[in-house]
Amino acid sequence: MKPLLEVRELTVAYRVKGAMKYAVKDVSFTLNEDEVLAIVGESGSGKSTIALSIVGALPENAVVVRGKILFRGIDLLKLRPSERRYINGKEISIIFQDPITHLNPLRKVRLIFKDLFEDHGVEFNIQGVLELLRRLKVPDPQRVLESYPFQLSGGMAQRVFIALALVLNPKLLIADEPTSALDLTIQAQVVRLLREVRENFRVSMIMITHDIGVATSIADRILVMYDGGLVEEGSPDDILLRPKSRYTASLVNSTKALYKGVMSWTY
Amino acid sequence: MDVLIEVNNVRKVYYIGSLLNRKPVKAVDGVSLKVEEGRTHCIVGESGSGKSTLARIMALIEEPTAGSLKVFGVDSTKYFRRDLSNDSHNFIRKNIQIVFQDPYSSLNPRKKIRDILTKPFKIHKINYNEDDLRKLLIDVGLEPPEDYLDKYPHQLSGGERQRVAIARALALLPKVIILDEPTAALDMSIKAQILDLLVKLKKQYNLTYVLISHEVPILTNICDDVTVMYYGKVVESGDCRIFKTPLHPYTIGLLNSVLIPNPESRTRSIFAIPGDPPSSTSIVSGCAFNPRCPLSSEVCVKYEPELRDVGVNHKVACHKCEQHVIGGYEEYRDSIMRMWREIM
Repeated sequence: MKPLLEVRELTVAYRVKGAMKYAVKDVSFTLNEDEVLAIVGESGSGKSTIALSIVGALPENAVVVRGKILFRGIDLLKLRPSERRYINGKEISIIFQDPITHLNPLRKVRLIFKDLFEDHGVEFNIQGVLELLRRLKVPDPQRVLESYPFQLSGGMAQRVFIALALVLNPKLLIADEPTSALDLTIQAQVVRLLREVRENFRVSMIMITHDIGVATSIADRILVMYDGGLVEEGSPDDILLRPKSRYTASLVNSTKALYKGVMSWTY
Repeated sequence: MDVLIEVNNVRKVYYIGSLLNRKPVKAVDGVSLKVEEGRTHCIVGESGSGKSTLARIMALIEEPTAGSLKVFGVDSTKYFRRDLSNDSHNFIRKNIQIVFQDPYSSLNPRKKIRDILTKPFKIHKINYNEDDLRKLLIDVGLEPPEDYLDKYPHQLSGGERQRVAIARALALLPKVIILDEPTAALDMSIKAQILDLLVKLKKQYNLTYVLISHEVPILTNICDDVTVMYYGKVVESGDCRIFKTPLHPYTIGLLNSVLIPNPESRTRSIFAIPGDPPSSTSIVSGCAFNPRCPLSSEVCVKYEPELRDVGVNHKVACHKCEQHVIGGYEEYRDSIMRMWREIM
């Protein structure tokens, strides 16, 4: 297995009223090619800060105190903004929970795709886009390309958003809480779709979530974070059945307690 | 058992769009249900199903467009406009309290916890003393209460704020508390704590709960009665046993969409009901679920199904499920799932 992304001793702090608040403390992990990694933690655990550090979208008051993020050997933290922009979208892309708010409301879907190609100096290949939309099971992709984002249903917008993330064949797809606060059936649709993506596209994935159920449904390996630090790393089976740290055990137990009503009867 | 809240064929229509292009949104479309004393009545549904509007109608916040509402045996349709000089109105308002989903926006950021907790007493002109406030905070697990009384909401965590919101709802010793997605905005471990707290308080204060939620796995832990809503209508209702033997294809699909945290879930295929729920302004003829339903046939497109009794304390609004269930329940359920998996 070849490492694709290596995060080394990453420490990130936010400047809040003159004081430094550490959001990520000395976190190291490796993501291999074709691997799906889930980072699980509760709010304030620092999991989203890690995602934002990788795509270089940290807010202005954030400071990377220490550490490296090596993507295929290149330290992303040392890149100039122009180099970053080249990598984002082409090598690394990110999807969020609410696709509609991240799609330009004034552009038709076709033009949003075209903008993306042009920003990366790639020739716009509409056939490729159509093919990708078909692979992502978008019905009537021609019509979707001529629609504005607000004309798409929630499920379709999510598919279009994932297509935008995948169209330039990135090596790494980051999903930042793609399912939290979604309805049960929509959440199931998104996780199902991401599973199809992992089976059909050669892309590694980092899934940021607070839901152990979502993490174990898709990931090869799970990192558990608490208060900015990494508390545990393991396979879904390790995390669920043999948690080493007390925090992971309590997280798993409270989730299991909440799910105990359904554990017995879902089929 | 006494029926505390009786909702009868209630409708709520909102209008959206510009002046010349107004479109009706039927948020709640002919819902009837009964909330019995001492029970936890769960209303399950996804966003847009009308469950929160229904909650707000039951709390007398939102006036229904049509239909009637009986609270504590009194016809409350005329009490939607606030009039605290009327004793009977006063009694109803005092005895139905509501806890909202987001404890960040439901507590006034400029008021101290002390002011937030004394407000209900002041509105209803009821005497209180410092000990009452302290007891409320202790009962919701915020100890020692002195540490909290003079804080502002922003100084508390999400879980603590939700506890304050619950304490405020408890202040006037109501008979019924309506919980509108009380745990949706909270982390997993906090969800479990709040749920335990709600169970404890229900016993301690002899409460009746109406719990509105889309988090199916969580509510199965505390629910006595269930009403499942889809697109403004009740599709299935009964006691919590319907979670074991759901009949409506929507309920079956919903329960199968839960991502269970167990080791097999990684290899098992994930089920999701195909298609999207209808948008709020669209008009679906017949059964609202028919475009996504594997049992759908001509009759489902033509006629809207009525909510009918199909067993002891079990109602379903579906034309087809009875004739399919004859071969045994499990056979029926598996065949629905099979048909869905084939078209996915």
